[in-house]
Amino acid sequence: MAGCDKNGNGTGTRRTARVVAIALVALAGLATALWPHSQTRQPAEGSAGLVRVTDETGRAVAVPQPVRRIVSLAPNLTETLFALGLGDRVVGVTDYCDYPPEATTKEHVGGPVSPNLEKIAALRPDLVLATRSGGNRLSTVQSLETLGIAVFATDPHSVDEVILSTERLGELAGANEQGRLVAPIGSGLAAGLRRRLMEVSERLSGSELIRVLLVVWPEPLITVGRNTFIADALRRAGAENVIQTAQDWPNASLEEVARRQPEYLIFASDHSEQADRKIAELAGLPGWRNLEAMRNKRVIVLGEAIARPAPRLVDAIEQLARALHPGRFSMEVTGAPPFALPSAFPLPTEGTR
Amino acid sequence: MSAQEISAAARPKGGAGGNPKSAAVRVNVEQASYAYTARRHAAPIFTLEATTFQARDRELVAILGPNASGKSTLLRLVAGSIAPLAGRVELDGFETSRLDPRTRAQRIAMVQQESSLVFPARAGDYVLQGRHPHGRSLWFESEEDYIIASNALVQVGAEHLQDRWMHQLSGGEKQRVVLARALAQQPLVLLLDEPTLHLDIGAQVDLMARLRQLAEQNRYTVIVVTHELSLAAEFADQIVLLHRGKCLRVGPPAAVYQQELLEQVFEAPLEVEIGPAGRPRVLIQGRREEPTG
Amino acid sequence: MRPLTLRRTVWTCVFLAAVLLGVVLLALRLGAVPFSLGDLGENLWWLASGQSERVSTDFRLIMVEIRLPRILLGILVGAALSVAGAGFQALLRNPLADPYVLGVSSGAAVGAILSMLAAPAYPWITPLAAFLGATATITGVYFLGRREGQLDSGTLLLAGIISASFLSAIIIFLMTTLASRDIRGIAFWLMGDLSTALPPGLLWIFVVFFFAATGAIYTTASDLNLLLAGEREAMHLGVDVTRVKLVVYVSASVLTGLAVSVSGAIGYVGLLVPHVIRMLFGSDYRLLIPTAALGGGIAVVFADTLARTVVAPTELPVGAMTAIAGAPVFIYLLRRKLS
Repeated sequence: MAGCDKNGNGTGTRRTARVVAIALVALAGLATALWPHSQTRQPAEGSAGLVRVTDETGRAVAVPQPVRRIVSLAPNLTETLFALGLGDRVVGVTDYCDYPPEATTKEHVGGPVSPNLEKIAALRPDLVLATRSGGNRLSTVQSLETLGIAVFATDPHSVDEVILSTERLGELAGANEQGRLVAPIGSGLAAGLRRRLMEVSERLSGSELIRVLLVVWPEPLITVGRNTFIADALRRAGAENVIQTAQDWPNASLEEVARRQPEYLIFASDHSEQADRKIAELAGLPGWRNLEAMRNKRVIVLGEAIARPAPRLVDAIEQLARALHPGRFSMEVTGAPPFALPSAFPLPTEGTR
Repeated sequence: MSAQEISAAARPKGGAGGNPKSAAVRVNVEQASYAYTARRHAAPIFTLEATTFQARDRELVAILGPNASGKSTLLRLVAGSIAPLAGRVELDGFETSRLDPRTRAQRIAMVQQESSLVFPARAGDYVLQGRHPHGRSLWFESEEDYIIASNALVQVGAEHLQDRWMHQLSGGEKQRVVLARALAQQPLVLLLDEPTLHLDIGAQVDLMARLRQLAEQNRYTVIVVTHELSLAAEFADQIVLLHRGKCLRVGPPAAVYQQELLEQVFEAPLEVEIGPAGRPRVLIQGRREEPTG
Repeated sequence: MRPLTLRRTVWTCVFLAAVLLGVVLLALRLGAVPFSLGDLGENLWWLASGQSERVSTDFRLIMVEIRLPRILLGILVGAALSVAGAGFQALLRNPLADPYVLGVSSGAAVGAILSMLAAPAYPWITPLAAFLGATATITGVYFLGRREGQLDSGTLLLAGIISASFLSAIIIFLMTTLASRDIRGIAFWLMGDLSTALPPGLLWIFVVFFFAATGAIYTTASDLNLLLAGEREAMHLGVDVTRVKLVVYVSASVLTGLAVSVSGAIGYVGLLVPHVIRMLFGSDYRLLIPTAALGGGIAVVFADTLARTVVAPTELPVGAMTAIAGAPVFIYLLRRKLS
């Protein structure tokens, strides 16, 4: 046997090290070569130029003017656009955009959580609207940005902010060919909403906030946190959620709720029959049975508008205010109340306030 | 190449014939000792005390002893997978534990109780793995490698098993294939750790006879760890007798197989007689008759 | 006994590459906005021959900027997961091992969720944070999984499983308390989702790391064959077991970390593709590694195409698709093995 040659293992380790080293050098080279290319594209200018704004999540956005084609990635944004009279500029909506009914006839781009990027791109929008509270993901927004599409995101935490968003969207998307606002679209609508809110708060002045529980989902019990626009809407309607946490959609325990005994339970659903059935079912369950509000049938079913940051939110606030503080709202001289009463459950009579 | 030429190529180089006893020492174990500890600096759980023996080519050495006598430890010292605490273990003059694993694998082949295969493999591919120490990594086997592997199967009488799946072989067949893999390494030294454990008597005898024949034919040094007294006596040239970590005796079977010694080591009533060929035979004694008077 | 030669390896890879090309063409054709083969061919030719002005903006935007990068990403992720799966199956001596069993994906998820909470300004921060999470987990599990200074299959497996459980609990905690606002987004990411367009720089980095890690594993391919027949036997055949285990551990973990960082935890690919390839082409790792990589690419691109088109324009997460297809394949493999 000739000498001990120590070549076996050494070569193996050296080869691996060599492969990795070459790869890392290549990596460094490629990275330096490609770094300038990894910027995102800027949107193309419109006929009236570009306007640079900061959206409600703090991102800088360059929006071509005028905005002729809009894609909305959340139902509340679709509603708002139509309320602003910009419905004919909407070219794409989500599968869940159900209000107003005309919205369902527009092209669908998928759900809010995972819309189809190709579909959105094929619609060639000037502006895409997203919202943090509607389930849109930051990665979707960033992907669209990479493709050179302007995305404006809203993130309202109070009723005032909802109205402000509406105004802003009107300004951003309401310009005509020359870049001027056709009419004070946004501000007109906003002024009207603010006026109605002021009327409600005047009527409610001096009355105490009624303690309620807003049920987002019954099983497991999910309600809203104090920083949401929904909690603010409740306050504007003269109510306060018994659960006040910093989390936006907290899981609450029925025992905790029972301890606090809210005076009313509020459900948000557009399908009143289904809601009634569900509530009847819950009334028989342990935990729910212990709630005085359930036993005394003090349950209010509002439409989903209470949970959508859109102009109809004010409708819902008015509705709720009348239901909770009926004494403060006399019937109009012309007779019938100007809105639909909540279904099925009797209202508390005057004098109990 | 004809069959004879292939066999000749497979044999390690060197002159043919010659008295095995006068051949050069291949494996030299000199005062080698080892100790197992659970943790460093703790007291040893088991110690193999200084052991000395030598093995030449064409020799079959049996490391004999009851369970837990240190046989496997001694074998691992010879294999070079552990280094002795004191003393030397050398192969052709080089310390086995200092060799790098690849070089070691080109010269020493180990046959142990094999682990179970994670994925099914054919016997032929299994034997081919024995060529690994002779190749480079990222390498595909050459024609020559295939010939050597086939030849190894022929030498153990298992060429018909080449395309069979390993997990479908019987104990004896599997043992032969494992041996073939060791032969494919073209080693100088063949080490086997209790190769007859799960075999029936026919397979046991077949294996030992084959080892004997291979030692002669291919000029291997074969070292077998076993506790089978009769097999060791019949087939080994040299016995290393271990008991509780101590090497009690080294020498040809006739010298080591003394009745009192064996009875003490194996703690069983035994009787030794010399067979016709001059090799000792061990018999189990029935109940001893009480001495009268 | 059919010998494995370089020639057979290369031809098998060429065959699988052709299949991959077919699947890619199919994926390019299908989608929310379909293109006919004729359109596809024409536009690709214009792009390739430098007449890119003739390519319509629609085509460029959809095909070149959205679909093609997504398909490329799918190939890379599928290849990375399959090679990692094959590597872990050898390292842990366990046919049930998949790339996530050692907790790398959970670590990456924690990193990703933490970065999503911080609402990063740049799109590459989430993959980077995920990769850091993966790296931290790889290092931690390595130190937990050692015995007497080297990686021990049994200890490593236990260390990995425990880490995975622990990190999963952290994820649930984060999701329910801090991140409840972005919960749907996180859930989507966890399921495995290729819809996020990666900045091109990041894609190139992935490519380079992929080839580095796969190359490193390939240098140990013949050692792995021996290792699978028994660790002690491998050592006696000259394999440096400690080094091989370390190389495979690091490389396979890096591949898993890369894949999970960009696309979440796509399941079943790393587990099943190596097994299917073994059934078709045998267990030799010198063939298995490149063919598993190609097979993984085929599987993920195919699954992703289905995910994009089955309920268009809504997109399913690709992880859901691989799970739906993966479970029956797994049952089939199991039954074949038992019969």
